[in-house]
Amino acid sequence: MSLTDQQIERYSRNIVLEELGPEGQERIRAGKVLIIGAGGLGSPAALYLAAAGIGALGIVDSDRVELNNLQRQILHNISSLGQEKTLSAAQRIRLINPDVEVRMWQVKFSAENALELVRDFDFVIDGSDNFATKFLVNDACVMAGKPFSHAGVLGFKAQALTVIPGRDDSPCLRCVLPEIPSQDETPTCAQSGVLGPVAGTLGTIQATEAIKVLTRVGEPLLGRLLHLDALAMKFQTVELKRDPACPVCSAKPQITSLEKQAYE
Amino acid sequence: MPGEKFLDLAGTACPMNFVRIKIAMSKLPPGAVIRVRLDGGAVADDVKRTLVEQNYEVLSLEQEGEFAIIFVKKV
Repeated sequence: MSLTDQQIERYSRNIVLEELGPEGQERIRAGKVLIIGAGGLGSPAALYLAAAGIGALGIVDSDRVELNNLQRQILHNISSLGQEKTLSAAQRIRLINPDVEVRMWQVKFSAENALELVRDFDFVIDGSDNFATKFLVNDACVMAGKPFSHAGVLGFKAQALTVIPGRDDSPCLRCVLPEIPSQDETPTCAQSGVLGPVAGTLGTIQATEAIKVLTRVGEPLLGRLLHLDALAMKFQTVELKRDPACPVCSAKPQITSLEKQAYE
Repeated sequence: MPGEKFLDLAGTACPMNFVRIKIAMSKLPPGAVIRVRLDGGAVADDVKRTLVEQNYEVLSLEQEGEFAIIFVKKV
């Protein structure tokens, strides 16, 4: 499928890159990325992927836009307060790039729908804000063989890891944390603070990783947990290895299906 | 206590209850004490923990039925 003159103009800054070129842009155009959570991480991820010319973006979020979201969730704005986040996201994405096909699921990503949701996509971005969902994304993507970006933010600190299931050099989340850390249902006061641009930084990194994996360029964060301490403005990477006894990605996994109660 | 400031945050969830305490404290001189009514149980414990983490002095916390009364001092 050839690019129109307008698309060549629009994506010129991608195409001129040696690592991308017209072939890379075509891979982006053919790419379909699912974003779990249209919040602090999902917002910049969606915006940059739309800008880059991704073929399709799936947005999964069950919430409505609240005032305190606007401190960091840059997909949304005052005109979408009270609106379903998926709709708010779709509207903004279309304004940036109407070429992008936007699919919306105004639902909670759950054990019941996870496998079906990830099935039609090439890459998944975990933009969720709780451990249970992060582990669900991990497990579903490993089971479905879908590459994904894990990320988390708290305060001024954040981390990211990319996983391509099936690769020897790509540990999943459970290779590092076999069990979901216990967490109360409502975040504690201390856990609800997050600096907007720190979330923005990581969500942007997630979009970059998605593009790299789709276009097969560079070195994604496979087996490397990227950690940012934004107060010190220091990035560190921690080397991780696949666990041969991993409950979900090993040769003999204990987790072979998604059970609702495991993620509550 | 005469002149003591009282903040009624019953029904206010985290983190807004904590945020309101911080804002009230920011307008007071060091040594000032405020009395705060919060939702009881885990909510009050959580607020207390966060106050201590952020260097406020919690003089007392008393659970009273569905609420809690906390005395906080600005250090």
